[in-house]
Amino acid sequence: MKKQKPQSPVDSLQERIAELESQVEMLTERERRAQADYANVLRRTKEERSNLVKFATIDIVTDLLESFEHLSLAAEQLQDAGLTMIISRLWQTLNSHGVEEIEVLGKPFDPTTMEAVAPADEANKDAVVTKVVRRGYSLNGKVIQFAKVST
Amino acid sequence: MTDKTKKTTEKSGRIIGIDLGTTNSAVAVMEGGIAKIIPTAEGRNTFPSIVAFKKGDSSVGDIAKRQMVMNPTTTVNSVKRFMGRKLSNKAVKEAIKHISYEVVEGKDGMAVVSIDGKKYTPQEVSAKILSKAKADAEAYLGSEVTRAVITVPAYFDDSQRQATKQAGEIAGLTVERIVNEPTAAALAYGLDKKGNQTIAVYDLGGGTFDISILEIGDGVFEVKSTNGDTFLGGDDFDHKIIEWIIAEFKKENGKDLSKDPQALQRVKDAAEKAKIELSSAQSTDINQPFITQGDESQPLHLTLTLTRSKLEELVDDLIQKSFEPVKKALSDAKMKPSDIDDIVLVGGMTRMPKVVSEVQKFFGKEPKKGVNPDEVVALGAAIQAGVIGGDVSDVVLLDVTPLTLGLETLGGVRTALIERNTTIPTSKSQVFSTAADNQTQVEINVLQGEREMAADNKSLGRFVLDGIPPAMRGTPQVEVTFDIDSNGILNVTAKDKNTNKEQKISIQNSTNLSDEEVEKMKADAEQHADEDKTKRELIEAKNQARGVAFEIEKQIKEYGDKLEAKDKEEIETDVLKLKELAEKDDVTKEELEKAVEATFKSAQKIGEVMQKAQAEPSAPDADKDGKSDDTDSKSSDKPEAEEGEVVNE
Repeated sequence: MKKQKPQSPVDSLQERIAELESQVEMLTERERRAQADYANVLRRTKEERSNLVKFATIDIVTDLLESFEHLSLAAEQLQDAGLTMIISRLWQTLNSHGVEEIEVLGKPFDPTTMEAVAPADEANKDAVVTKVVRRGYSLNGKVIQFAKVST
Repeated sequence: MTDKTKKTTEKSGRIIGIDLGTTNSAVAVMEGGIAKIIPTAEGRNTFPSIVAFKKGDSSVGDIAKRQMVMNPTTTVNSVKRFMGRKLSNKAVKEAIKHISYEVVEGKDGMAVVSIDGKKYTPQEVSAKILSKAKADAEAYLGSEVTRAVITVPAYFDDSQRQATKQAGEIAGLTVERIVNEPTAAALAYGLDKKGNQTIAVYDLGGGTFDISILEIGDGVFEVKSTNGDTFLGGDDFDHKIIEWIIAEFKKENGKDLSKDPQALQRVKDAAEKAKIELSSAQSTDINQPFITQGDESQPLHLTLTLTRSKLEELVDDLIQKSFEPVKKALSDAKMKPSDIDDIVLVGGMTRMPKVVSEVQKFFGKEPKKGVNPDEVVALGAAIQAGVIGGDVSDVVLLDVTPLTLGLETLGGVRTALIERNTTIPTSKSQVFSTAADNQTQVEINVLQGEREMAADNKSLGRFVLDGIPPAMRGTPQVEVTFDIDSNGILNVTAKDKNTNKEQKISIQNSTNLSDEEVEKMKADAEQHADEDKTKRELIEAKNQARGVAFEIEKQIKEYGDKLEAKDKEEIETDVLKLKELAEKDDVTKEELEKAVEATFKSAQKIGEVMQKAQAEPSAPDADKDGKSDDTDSKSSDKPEAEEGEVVNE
C-alpha cells in the first residue's frame, strides 16, 4: 500500500487496529480449524476402530469364499452326497461368522449389491435378474463380493 | 451478519483438490498440514469417472460402473475426452469409436452426449462426477465444501480448461484454480522446493498415457512439452492376460472359455488378481477348478502358472509403445533423457515393476517413489488448494522435533523424553530419583540426538537442582518436564516434589536445526550403531583388564614372599603396564587382550607357587584365571553420573 499523504496518529492507530483485527480473525479461524480437524480425527478413529473389529475377518472370509465357491462348483458337477455335506457344514461356519449370500435371482437389478456382466435383455422390462455368473456375499451387512448377474 | 463476516465465512471454507480423471477420479484435502485422500462413500480412495442415467436420475462411480454393461447407451464413461471439444475434432471422432453411448453435435458444433434423446454437455456430465466428489468431501469433513482446485492434462487448451471450470461451477464449486496434472504430481513430491529442475511425468492410467516435460524455477512450473497415447492403459494389460489364459486353456482342453459367461467372468477376475500379485511376486498360480465341463461332461480345471517374466513378455509391446511419445516429447523440448533431473510416475499401471525398470532404463535414473500413483495427482491438487487457502503455511507452524530430546541418567545413559518427529507444541514429564544415599542435588543435562550414550548426543544445556533433603537413594522424587512451545523453545523444569523447589532452563531453537544437521545426526546414529558397539566392547575390555590387574595384585600380596624376587618384579611390571593401559584413552580392545594374556603368562609363576602351597594343608584357594566376577561393569572412564534412575513413568 502506498501512502498518499502523511497520516495522523489516529489514522495509524486505526490502521494498526484493523491489522490486529484481521490477525485475530485469521488466528481464530486457524484455531477453529485445528479444533475441527481434531474432532474429525477423533470421530473417524472411533468409526475406523469399530469397523476394524467388525471387519477384521474380511480377508480370511474372502479367501475362504473362493474355496467355498470352488467346492460348490465341484458339487454341481460331481453330484456327490459327501461333498454336499462338507459344503453345507462350511457354509454354516461362514454364516455363523456373519457371511450371507446376496439373494439376486428373480429380483430387480440393483447396482448397490450386483454387477451386470451382460447387456440388458430388451424383453425383460423390469430388469429382473435371470442368471448369476458369480454369487455375491455380504459380511455383517457389508457387500464383500458383488453378485455378477445378467437380466 | 454483516457483509464483512459473510464474506469471511464464504471464503473460509476448506478447499478440496480434485483429480478429475478420464477413467478414475480422486479427491484430497489438506488436514493438519498434510494432504490426505478423502475416501468415497463406498470406502475407496478413488472412484470410476462414470455416470449412469436412469429416468432423469443419475448415479456416479462404482454403482454406475456395475450397471454399465447392462445399460451401455445410458452410461457415460471417459466423458473427459469430449470436454470443450467440437464434434468435428479428430480426437473426438477417434474417442467415439471406443464408447457405447451416443455423442452428437451441440451448440456451436460442440460434442455433447445424448441419452434417451436428451442432450447433456460434457460439462454437465463431469459436474455429476464433481458433485459426488463434493458430497464425499462434505461427509468426510463434516462441513460444506464450496471451493476446489481441479486438475486437467497439461495439453488441455483454453476451451477444455474453461469447460472443466464450468463443470465445477455447475456442481456448486468455485474453481479456485485449474492445475496441470503433471504439476500436481510434482507438487505431491515436493519438487517445487528443490530449486531449478527438469521433470518428466510419466502417467500410465486406466485408459490413457501422458508424458509431460516440466521445468521448475522459483516455484513456477512451466510445461515444456507434452505427448501421449490417448488409448493406452491398464485395460490393455488386462486384456493381454485374459487372452493368454483363454488361449492356453484352449490349447490344453480344446474349449473356448470366452464362450461361457460364467467361466469368462472367473478368468477376468483371475487375470486381474494375477496382475496385482505379479507386482510383488515372481510367479502366481491361476487355479480355477471346475471352470467348465468337457464334451463328455467331465469336469475341466484351469491350472496355470503365470510368471512375472511371461507377463512382461505378454505386455512388452504395450510398454514399448509408451516410449514413442516420450521420445517425441523430449525432442519437442529439445532435450535428451539425461537432461531430466527427476521422473514422477502417475497412474496405477506404473506399479508394474517392468514399467518402472523400463522408465529407469530409458532415463538412466530411478523414478520417484513413495506416493501412491493413483492418488498423487489429487494429493498435489490438495497441496495447491492448501497454498491458496493458507493451510500450507500452517505446515511451518506445525513443526516437529527433528531429533529426540532427553536427559542424562545413571551410568551416562541417555533417557529420551520427547521422541523425534513429535509434533510441537508438546510437553512431557517424568519422575526421577537420586542414585546415591543422601544425595542433595541432581544435575540435569539436556540432550538432543539419537545415540544411546549421553556423551554421544549434543548437550543443549545443563543445570543443577539442589537443596534436596538428604534421604535414602531412590526416595526423593524429582519431576522433570520438557516443554516445547510452537516457536521451538524448549523449557526444561526440574522440581523436587517434596519441597516444591524448582529450577529451569530455557533453550532457544531446539528444533531449529538445518536439514543437513538433522540428517547428519540421524546418519550418525545409524552409522555409529557399530561404533557404539565397539565402544562398549572397549569399555568391557578395560573393565576386564582392571579386574585382572586387581586380582593378580591381590595374589602377589598373598604369595609374593614365596616368589623369587626376579619373578615378582616381572609380574609387578606387567600388572602396572596393564593398569596403565586400561586408563589410556586411545587403547584398543586387541591391545588390552594382548596385555591381559601377557600378564597371565608371567603370573603363571604365582600358579606354581600356589600349587606348592596347596600341598600344605592351610593354603587358600585361588582363582587361576584371575578373572573377577565382581568387577563393577558400570565403572567406566567417565565419572559416575550423579543423576538418579527412573522410578516412575
